[in-house]
Amino acid sequence: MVAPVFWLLDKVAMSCDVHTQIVSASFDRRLTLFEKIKYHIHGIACHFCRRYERQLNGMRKAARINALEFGQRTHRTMSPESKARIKELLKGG
Amino acid sequence: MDITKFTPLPLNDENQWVDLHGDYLFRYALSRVSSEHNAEDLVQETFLTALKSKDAFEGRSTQRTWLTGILRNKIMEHYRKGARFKGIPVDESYEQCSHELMDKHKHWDLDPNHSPADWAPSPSQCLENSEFWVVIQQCVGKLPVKASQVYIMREIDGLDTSEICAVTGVSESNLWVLLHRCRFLLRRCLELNWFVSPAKATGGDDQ
Repeated sequence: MVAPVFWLLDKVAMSCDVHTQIVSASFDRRLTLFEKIKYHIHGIACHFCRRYERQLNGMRKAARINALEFGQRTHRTMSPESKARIKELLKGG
Repeated sequence: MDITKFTPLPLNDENQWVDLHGDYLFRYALSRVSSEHNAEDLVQETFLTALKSKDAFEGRSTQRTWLTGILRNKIMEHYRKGARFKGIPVDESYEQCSHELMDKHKHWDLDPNHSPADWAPSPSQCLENSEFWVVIQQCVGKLPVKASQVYIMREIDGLDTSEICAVTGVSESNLWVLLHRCRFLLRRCLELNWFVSPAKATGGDDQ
C-alpha cells in the first residue's frame, strides 16, 4: 500500500528548476494534465516558486502596459526640430 | 491620433513620411528604448534606410507596417550595441545563473542573495520611473541578439509563438526553452540591478 504512494510522490515531485520551466511554458502553450498536477503540487509547497511566478507575471504585465501606454495612448511626439532635421536629411538623401 | 486610419501613399512621397508616420514610429521606439533622444535617432535611421531601400518595397504591406519593420530591426541593432556583455550564448549564461541560484538538487538555494527576493513595489508600479526602463533595456541588451529579438516579439509585441517561429526559423520546442531562459535571466538581472539594488532608492522619478 505504501510503495505505490511513494512511487506516485516521486513521480509528481519535481525540482524548482523544472517548476520554473513549467511556469514559463504556461505562458506560451497549454500544459499537459500531468504538468498541471505537478505544477500545483509543487506550487503549494514552494514559497520561492510562487514568488518567481508572481515576478514573471509582473514582468509580462509591465512589458505589455509599457507597449500600450507609449505606443498608443500617450500623445508624446517628436520635437519639431528633429522632424525638420529628418525632413532635410530625406531631401538631401 | 487614430493609428488605425491610414491612407496608403505612393512611395515617392517621402517628404510626407515624417508628418504621417514620424510620431507613431517615435512612440513605438520610445516603448522599447529608454530615452527620447535614442528614439528620435532610431526613427531618423529608419527613414534614411527606408529611403535607400524604397525600391525593394513591394507594396504587400502598408507603408507604416514596412517602416515599423525597419524600425524594429534598428531597435534590435540598438540593443546589440548597448549590450555590455556580447556574445555569451544564452545557454551558457543560463547554466551559470541557474547553478548560482539553485542547489545541487535543483531547488532554490536558501541563501537570501540567491532565492527570489521580495519585489516591492511590483514591476508595473515601477513603470513611471524612467530609470526602471533603462535597467530593463540593459538587461534585455545583455541577451544575445536572437534571444532578445524573440523576447521582445513575445513579451512586448505580443506575437504568437507560431508567428515567432515563422519569422525566426526556431522550432517551437526550442522557442519555449529559449523564452524560459530569457525570462529566468531577465528576472535575475532586474532583481540584481533594480529590486535589491540601491539604485532603486536613488533613481529619479521623472514622470
